[in-house]
Amino acid sequence: MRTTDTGAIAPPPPYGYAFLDTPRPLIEQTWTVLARQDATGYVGILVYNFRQSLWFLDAEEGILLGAILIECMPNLLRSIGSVFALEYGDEIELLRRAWVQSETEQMESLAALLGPVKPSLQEGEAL
Amino acid sequence: MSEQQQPSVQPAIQVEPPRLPSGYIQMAEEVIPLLSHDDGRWIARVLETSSLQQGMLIFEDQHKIVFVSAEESATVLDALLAHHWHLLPYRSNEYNQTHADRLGRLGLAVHAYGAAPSALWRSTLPGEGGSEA
Repeated sequence: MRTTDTGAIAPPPPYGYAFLDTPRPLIEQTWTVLARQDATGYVGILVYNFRQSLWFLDAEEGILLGAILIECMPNLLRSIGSVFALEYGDEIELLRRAWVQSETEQMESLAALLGPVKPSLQEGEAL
Repeated sequence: MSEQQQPSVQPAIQVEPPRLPSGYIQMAEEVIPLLSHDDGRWIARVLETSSLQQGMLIFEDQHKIVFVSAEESATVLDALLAHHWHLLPYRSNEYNQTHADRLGRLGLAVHAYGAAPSALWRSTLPGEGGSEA
């Protein structure tokens, strides 16, 4: 058993996986941890509960899942229940800020690529 | 695969996204290959008809691998962002090129989230302790 920063006790590794970090609690008795899959040697993200592997994504799949979740975040946040949002307020706020930041910087880099938009109009000049 | 000999230079593969497993309705976004087209795993934002919950579905050949509800997605993303620096050293160059746009956006999000590479972790990673780009 390992103890997290918050004092929760994590279940031991399920068969076939070696933990590479301290597990983090998800919700409803599920945990996630950086792990190595014994059979393949792949390092990735393991989601598990007591002694049972629920799913495992290798590093590339895990990174891409994160990227896709960021894209879907506004819609996902909208469908999250208020009780959950209250309980996980800090995490939700971090995710919201992360999404806003990525969107804003995407727009800024796009604007930089496009260059100034019709400066003559801004200066009141005739077309 | 064995019925036809492939030419030495293969044309670009055009793969139609597979149909979703029964019990799930696709929401607005596209169905996205989770890794590459020949890997077989896809992901989509869906509505689970039995629970009426929105979430993310990872599936393969119309079979569900996992459904992660919106609430679980938030905690999974929270964990993925926190582990981002640990996962980076294990990706390939081909992967970087294929998913450059998405990785760029994710990098911005990770920055905003405040996740930072752990010095201890970097020292244990292969190749100079995780020399990610």
